[in-house]
Amino acid sequence: MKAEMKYTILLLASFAFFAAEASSQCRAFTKRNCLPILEDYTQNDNYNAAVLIPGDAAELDMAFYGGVNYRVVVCSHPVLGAVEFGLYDSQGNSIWRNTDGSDHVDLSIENTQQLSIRISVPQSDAALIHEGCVSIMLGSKD
Amino acid sequence: MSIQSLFRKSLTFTIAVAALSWGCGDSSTTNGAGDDHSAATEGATLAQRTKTLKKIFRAAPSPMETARIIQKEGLPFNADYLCNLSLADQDGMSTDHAIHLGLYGADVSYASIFQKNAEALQYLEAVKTLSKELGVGSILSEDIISRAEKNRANRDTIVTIVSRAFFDLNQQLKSAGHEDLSGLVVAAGWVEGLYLATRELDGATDGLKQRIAEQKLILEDVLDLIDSYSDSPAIESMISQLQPVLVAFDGVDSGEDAAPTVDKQEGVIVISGGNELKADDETISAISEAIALVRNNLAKAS
Repeated sequence: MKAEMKYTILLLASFAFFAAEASSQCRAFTKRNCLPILEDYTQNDNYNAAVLIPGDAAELDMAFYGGVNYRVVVCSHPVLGAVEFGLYDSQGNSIWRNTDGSDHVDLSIENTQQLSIRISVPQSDAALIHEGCVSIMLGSKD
Repeated sequence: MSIQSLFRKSLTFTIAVAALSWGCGDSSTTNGAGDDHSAATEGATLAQRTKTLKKIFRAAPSPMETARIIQKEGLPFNADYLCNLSLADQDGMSTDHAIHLGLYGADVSYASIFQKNAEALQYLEAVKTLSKELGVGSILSEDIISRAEKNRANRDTIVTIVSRAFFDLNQQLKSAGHEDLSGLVVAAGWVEGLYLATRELDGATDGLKQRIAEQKLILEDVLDLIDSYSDSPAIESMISQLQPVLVAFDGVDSGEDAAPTVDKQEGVIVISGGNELKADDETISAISEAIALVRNNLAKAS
């Protein structure tokens, strides 16, 4: 029984280590690779990043102010392949998709409204599945 | 297979994957040519799961964005409406510090956008004090404060420093598993931002009234965000305090359903149309009174 407990603790500690390591790497990845894409746009306060695997999806809904210019960045680790993302209005109608493989889109919005950013990580048939960081960064300027 | 053997195999597998992952991970000690390697590999490891998921992120416009649009509508700056700086020196629970940090975040954003840089620097110091209390003091190092002081006449630099600090704060709190505290910072920041926007309504322009009405959408974002952490008593209290504000926003006219039109001009996606939110004077007044009650409760001495 004692041995089982020892192994359980070691196993849980290993997974905790993994979670902390993945989170730390995602923070470093975002700061180094994603933040610079915002250029002169002022970054939004919210940190939206997660470790995803092939086949995963993600979504962010947020109100965007009218009369403001925005840059939406979806930055992902290359190991995940060509991550797709698109913008949708509050009724779910598609506004734009990154069919050109772009990692960002610039927006000018007339009236304040809710928009949705939807992300999908392509499936992979690789023998070893990698997980990678995906970050959504929002920036604004006059 | 015995349970012990199963544990051993699981542990062996975990350690093996850890070793492989470590090799794929970032090394903070590398420099020079080594940086190229770490930049290419950080943020990726061997997967710990095989079942796919859909991750839902929650976010809201920052107080800096709100301050920017409110300033454009001709709202005057009045330092008397900002929170008392003594909140930073109060003892309290981490949830109290998070709420006060959110209030100060909006105050420093307003002061920055209105180019009241002396006030902005005072509130930045208060933010530093509170962030230390929450164990995330590194978001505002002495170097950063010193850079802000040297650039006190440069609005853009101050705005960038404040925005970066609050992004780092949000990142560190979430990464440390304190999502509830990050939610309280966001909610309190929104409350203070709307409080400041509704202090001087005599002679308010239609533009300002429309901006206040639009906060109905932002409140929905804020409530969605904090509701995802609703197992925290402090979050439950915040949700409860915001209910009268939600009721006050019932008077906002969401206009007729109008699908936005989309155009592309010089590489920019231009989204025109969509619903125009409006509110009459009575509704604006009700919102102003409701938000003042919440804000004064959050900002009171503990």
